[in-house]
Amino acid sequence: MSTVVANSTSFRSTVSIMRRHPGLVFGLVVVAAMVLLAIAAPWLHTLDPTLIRPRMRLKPPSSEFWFGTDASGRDLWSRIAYGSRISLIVGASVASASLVIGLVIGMIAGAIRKLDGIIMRIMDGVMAIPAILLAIMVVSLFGAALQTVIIAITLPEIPRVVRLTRSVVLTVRGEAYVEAAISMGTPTQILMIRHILPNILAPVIVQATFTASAAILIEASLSFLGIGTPSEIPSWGNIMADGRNYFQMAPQLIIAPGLLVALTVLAVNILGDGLRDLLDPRLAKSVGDAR
Amino acid sequence: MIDDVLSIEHLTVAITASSQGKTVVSDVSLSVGRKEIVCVVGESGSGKSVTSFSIMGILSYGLAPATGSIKLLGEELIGASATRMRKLRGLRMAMIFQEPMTALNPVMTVGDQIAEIFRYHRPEMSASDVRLRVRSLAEDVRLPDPANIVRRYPHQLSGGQRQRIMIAMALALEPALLIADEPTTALDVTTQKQILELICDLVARRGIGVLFITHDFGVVAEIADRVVVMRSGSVVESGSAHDVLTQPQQAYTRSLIDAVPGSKLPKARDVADHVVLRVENLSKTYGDSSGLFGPAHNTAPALLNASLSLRKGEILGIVGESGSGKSTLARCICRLQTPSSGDIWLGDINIARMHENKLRNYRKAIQVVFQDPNRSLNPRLRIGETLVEGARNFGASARVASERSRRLLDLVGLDDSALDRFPHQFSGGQRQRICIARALASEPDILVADEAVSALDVSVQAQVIELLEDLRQRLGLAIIFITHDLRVAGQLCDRLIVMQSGRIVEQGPTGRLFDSPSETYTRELLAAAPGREFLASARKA
Repeated sequence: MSTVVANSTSFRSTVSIMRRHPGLVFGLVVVAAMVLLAIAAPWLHTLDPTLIRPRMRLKPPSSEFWFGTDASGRDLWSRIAYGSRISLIVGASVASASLVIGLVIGMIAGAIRKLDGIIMRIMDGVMAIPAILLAIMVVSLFGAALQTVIIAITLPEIPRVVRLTRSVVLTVRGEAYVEAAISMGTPTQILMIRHILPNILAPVIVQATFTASAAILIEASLSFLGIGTPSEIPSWGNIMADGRNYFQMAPQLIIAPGLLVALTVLAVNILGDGLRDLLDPRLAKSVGDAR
Repeated sequence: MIDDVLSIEHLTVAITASSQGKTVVSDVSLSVGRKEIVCVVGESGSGKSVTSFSIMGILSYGLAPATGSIKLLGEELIGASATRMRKLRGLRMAMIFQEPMTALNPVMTVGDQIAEIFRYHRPEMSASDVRLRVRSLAEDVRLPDPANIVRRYPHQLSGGQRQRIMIAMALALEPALLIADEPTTALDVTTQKQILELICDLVARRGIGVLFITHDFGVVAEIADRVVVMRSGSVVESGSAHDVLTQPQQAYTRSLIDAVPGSKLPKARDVADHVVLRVENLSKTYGDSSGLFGPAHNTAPALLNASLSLRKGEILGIVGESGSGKSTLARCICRLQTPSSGDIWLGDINIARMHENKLRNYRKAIQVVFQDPNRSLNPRLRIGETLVEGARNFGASARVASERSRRLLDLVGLDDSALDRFPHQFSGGQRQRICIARALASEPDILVADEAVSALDVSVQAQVIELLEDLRQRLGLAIIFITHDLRVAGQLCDRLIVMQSGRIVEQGPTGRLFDSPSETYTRELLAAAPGREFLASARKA
């Protein structure tokens, strides 16, 4: 009985959260649609995205080729559908990798005063190099492959997470409940995990969504410049790069993947904004009071 | 009645989103005449601030006046256009707030901020006229050296000076009504006295009406002509200040007046001779560490040569104004900070400069309760998890620890159901009880209460003080009670230490210190406590 009540109230509160944060819902729906597109690509009226058809070059959209074909006669719709995999994988892995690494380094910097100065100066150094240049350097050193691209984009994103984490750790460290825990003799590791980590997660997770959207954009830029994922594996960026020379004859080669990049990045950003509103304790509190 | 500056009749403020017409203020009527100070008194959530915000037309989003009328000099404010309200604010009515630092723009000189009012409301005034008016306003609010002070930025002024600037801004256009929302709550007691005197003086000189919102019946006794007592959105009682203070008609008013600390004197108590803590020549200077880049800063010591001793079962009060070093002393004793020099003897062990790893074993002996109960509990942990932590850190088994947390909850007057709940599900007073229970979990000898009741409503404050007193008796706990409020200290403490600018000015038994203070500063502090004469007469009665 009690579980039923609990379930129905949690369902109702989910509904009311969704009504109060329409942005969150929009972001979630679009991101979910993209994930679905990536997973279900083989079954969505797609052909082999790498099959070259010399006689079918630059065909306009038709019932067979929904978005037309590119300069090598490859089906654009199939390439976009499969390309979403690369974009989402890059977005998700860059966000989670920079989140985890950044959290660990940031918490160490925030907790151990002796290391703080050293770590933060190193981070300042990394931040001083433009992200895209750093990425170009890493890719040209290690060659264009998906993993290299992910590492290349993650690297410049880490300092942002570190800075944010450190600053929130410093704030939370000054909170009375942390001082109370210190005066109770709580060992430092437990202090960090039990008292500090749960209270700094919200802003860092929000930052991670912005990192994800930035990663999708940078991956597209790298591919567009021809140093991202190799052309055999379609990604939204290298589809655009391939279409660059044919823009006047077949503008959909750039417009279609470009729109998808824009839509995904927008959705992830709005999702991040929605998450921030939802996780911000002050806002959460005012919602509770109103009820 | 036409002489009233402000008259509110049957005002009801409702939550707009609530379909059942939930109200936060219901059927409030009050009036303020010329040259009159009306105090609205109530605890948090009583609707006193909402009432004042509806007069100014600055209710927060989601609240709106539902019925009733608010007349300012005969003009109806409910339903007035936004343009008209903007005009009236400043011109006819003005408001000052609790925290003058946040109400001032930090990147503008205070003189420019006052001048800005004239620029908006009196564009025809010449720059030199504005300058003269700003200067004379600064003189009016008794700021020292007005010619220079208007060229300063808010952070260069003291809290009292900032509040004077706020008052000068409020009075710039000579409004008929001044609304003061807890204007002295964030100020030191001596500064509070000066600001209260200033307000009374302005009322007499300028004939304005003041609606003064406060939670402190001591302040009411000082300044009010009439009193309105509010509770959960409605008026409980109103009348002349004298009548309400001496013959309250409602039990609630009575309880609020009784809860004013200092209306009872402490009983003399016997304390054992067993000394649990001895502090010798403790000093602390901040900012003596240098960054990676940049030189070391040298600043004045926050604490200089403080010595004290604390016996088992004794409550030692440390009183002082902000910046007196009382919190630094407390934080050094709990070793949340490392003192620059001096000794802290726990029995025969000196913990003053002990390394954290070794110190951990001695931490259980000294526990601390902080000021703000909203921030001193981890919001993501259930109360049960918070309470077992102290015992678990010192090696108690999970079963013993949870057993003990049940007992502690009982000790502070909460029941077991609290264990599974989160901090935000409790009121401020309950949270402070939980904090006390947490502090007791490691079975300390010494409890340091750092402004532990300052953020609480008076009635809750009285309950927590009672709890501390009870714990002292039952557990033989030694308590260091830090407060800025001499009245609270006087009610609870066996001995008092008075601090000023990092030094101990005077110490002695509470009764002696209250009756015959030997230092001028102690005398000033005692004289500044609001409602002193009223309380003295109440004690005699």
